[in-house]
Amino acid sequence: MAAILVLLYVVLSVAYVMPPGNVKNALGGYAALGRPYFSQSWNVFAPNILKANIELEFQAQWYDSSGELVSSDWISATDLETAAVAGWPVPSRIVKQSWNLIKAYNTRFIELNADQRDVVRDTFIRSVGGEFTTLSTEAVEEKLNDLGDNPGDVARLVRYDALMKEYVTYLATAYLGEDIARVRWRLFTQRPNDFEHRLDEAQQFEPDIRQFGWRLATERILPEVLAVYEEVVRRGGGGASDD
Amino acid sequence: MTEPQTRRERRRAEEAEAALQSETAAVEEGAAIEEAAPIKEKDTTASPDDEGVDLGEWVRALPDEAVRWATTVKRATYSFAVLRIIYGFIILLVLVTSFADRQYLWGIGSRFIDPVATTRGYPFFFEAIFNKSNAVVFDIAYFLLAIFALAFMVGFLTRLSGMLTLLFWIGVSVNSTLLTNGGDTVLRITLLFALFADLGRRWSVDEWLRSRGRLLKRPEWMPRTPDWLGPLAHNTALMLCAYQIILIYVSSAFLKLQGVEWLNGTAVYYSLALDVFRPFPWLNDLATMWDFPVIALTWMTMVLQLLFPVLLVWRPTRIAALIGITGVHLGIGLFLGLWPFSLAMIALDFLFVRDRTWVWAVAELKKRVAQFRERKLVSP
Repeated sequence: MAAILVLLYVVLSVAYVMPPGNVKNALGGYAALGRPYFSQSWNVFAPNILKANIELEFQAQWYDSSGELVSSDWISATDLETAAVAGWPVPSRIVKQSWNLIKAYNTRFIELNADQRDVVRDTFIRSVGGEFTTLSTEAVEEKLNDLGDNPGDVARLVRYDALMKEYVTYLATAYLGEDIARVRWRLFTQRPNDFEHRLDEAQQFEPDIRQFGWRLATERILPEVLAVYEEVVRRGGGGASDD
Repeated sequence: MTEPQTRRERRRAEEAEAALQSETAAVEEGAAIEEAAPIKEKDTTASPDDEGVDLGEWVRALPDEAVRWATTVKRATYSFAVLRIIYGFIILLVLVTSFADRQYLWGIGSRFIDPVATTRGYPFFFEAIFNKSNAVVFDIAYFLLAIFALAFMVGFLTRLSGMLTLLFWIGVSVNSTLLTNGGDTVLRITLLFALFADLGRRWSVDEWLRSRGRLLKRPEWMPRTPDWLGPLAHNTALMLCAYQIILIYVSSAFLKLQGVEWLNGTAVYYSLALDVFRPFPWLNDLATMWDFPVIALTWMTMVLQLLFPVLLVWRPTRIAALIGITGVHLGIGLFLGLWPFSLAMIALDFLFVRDRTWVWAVAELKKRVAQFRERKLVSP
C-alpha cells in the first residue's frame, strides 16, 4: 500500500513538472486530482532567467477645491514597499507584493492580441452627458471578445484589471491623502547591464515603460483598510508631503 | 592534570566527566542503531555479479528486502528532527519578518486579491482561518500560527502541533496569490508527508517528557497498532520527502540546461543583479566582479542538481554533494535573501544524513567541548 502511494505521488508530481506535450496531456486528468495542494513548478530562474528589474508605478487624479482635475506624479509602489525593508537580510514578504502583481497583470496582458492590447492600454472612462462613467466589466469583456477568439484570456485580464484598480486606488489614496477620482498604472522595466558590461558605469539599456489607461477609482474606500495602506506608505517613507 | 581545588573546578571536572560518559553512551547508541540495521546492509558482498549468486534469487529477494527496510526500523530520525526544527523556524521567520505588514499582505488590506485567490480551489475552511473582514480575528489566527510553529519547532505535542501548524500555514498562504515562493511550495508538500513520520522522537520536548514518563500514554482501551505500522509510515514519509527533493533538483536542472544564460555560465550574475533579490547590493556586486566565480557557480549549481541522485549512491560523493548543495543554498539565502526556500531545501537535503552520522557528530562535538573545558581547567 505504501509503495502504491509513493508511486501515485511520483506519477502525479511528474505530471506537474514535465514540459507540455502528449504525455502531460494524457496525465492531465489525473494531475487535476492533486490540485491545488500538490501543484508545483520548478521553473523559477530557468530556463529563461529574469533579466530585468520591474516596478509597478501608479498615477492618480483628483478634483481640487476649484473643481479642477489634478494629476500626481508617477509613484513607484514597488519602491514604497521595498524601502521599508531595505537592508534586511530576511526581508518581509512585502517586497513581492507589487512586483508579483504587475508581473501577473503583464502576463495576462501579453496573452491578448494586438487589438485587444490597444483597448487595455486605452482608458475605460467615458463621458456620458457631461458625466464621467466607466465601461462596465461586462462591456470591457464584450469589447475585447469582439476583437479576438480568446475568451479565457480576456476574462483573466479583466478580472486582474479590476483588482489592480482597487489596489492602486487604496495606495494612491493613502499616499496622496486625496479623494482619488482616477488611477492608472504602468510597468516600469529597467534591465541591468549584460554580464560583459556589468562593470560599466553607463547604463546599457533604456528603461521600458508599458502604460495602461485611466480607470475610474474604486468608489468604496473602507477606513480600516485605508489605514493599513497608510501605515505601509508611512513606513516606506512616502506620503502626501512628498508630492 | 592537577587535582581540582575549588568548588567550581570540581563542578567543571564533573561536567567534563559527564560529557565523556554521554559521548560513550551516544557511541553505544549509534552502535545499537547499527546493530538494529539489517544484516543485509552490512553484507554488501552479495550482488548479482558475484559468482554463485543467482540473479533471479537476488531480484526475488528485493521486495522482501524493501519490506524489511521499511517496516523494522524508523530511519533518519535525527534528520527528521532537524527538519522539524528548521520548518518551524522558517514559519516563525516569515511571521516575524512580515509582522508589520501582515494586514497588508494577508489581512484586511489584501481583499483586492480575493477574485483571484478564491479561484484556486482550496476548501473554504482554509480561507476562513485567516479572516479578511476583521483585523482582530486575523491577528488571533496569526498569533496562533506562531504559537503552533514554536511548539512544533521544539517538538512539543509534535504531531498535533505539526498538523495545526500546517493547517494554519496553508490558511495564511491561500489568502494571497502574490506572496508564495518555491520554499512555501516545498514546505507545504513535504510537511504533509513528514507529519506521518516520528518527528518528535529526537531532540524534542516530547522526547524529554517521554524519558521522564510524563508524556501521555496510549489508553489501555485503545487498540494497539501493529509494530510495523509506525516504521512503515515513517519510512514512507522519508521516501516521499527524499523523492521530492530529487524531483526538484533534477527537473530544475533539466530546465537550466535549456537556458542560454545557464549554458554560457552567466546565470548567477543575472540572479544577483535583480533589485528584488539584493538584500545587500554591495555584496552581490562584489560577488560578480570576477568572471570565474560566476561561471563556476553557475555550472556547479547545474551539475550538482542534475547529478544529485547519482551522487547519493556512494558515500564519498554523497558527502561532497550534500556539502556542495548546502553551500549553494546558503548562498541563495545570503545573496538573494531567499532564506525560507534555502532553509527548506537544506532541511530536506539533511534527510540523506544517516542517524549514525548524527550520533557520531554529536558525540564528536561533546568530546571537543569536554576537551576544551578540560584544557581550560588545566591551563593556569
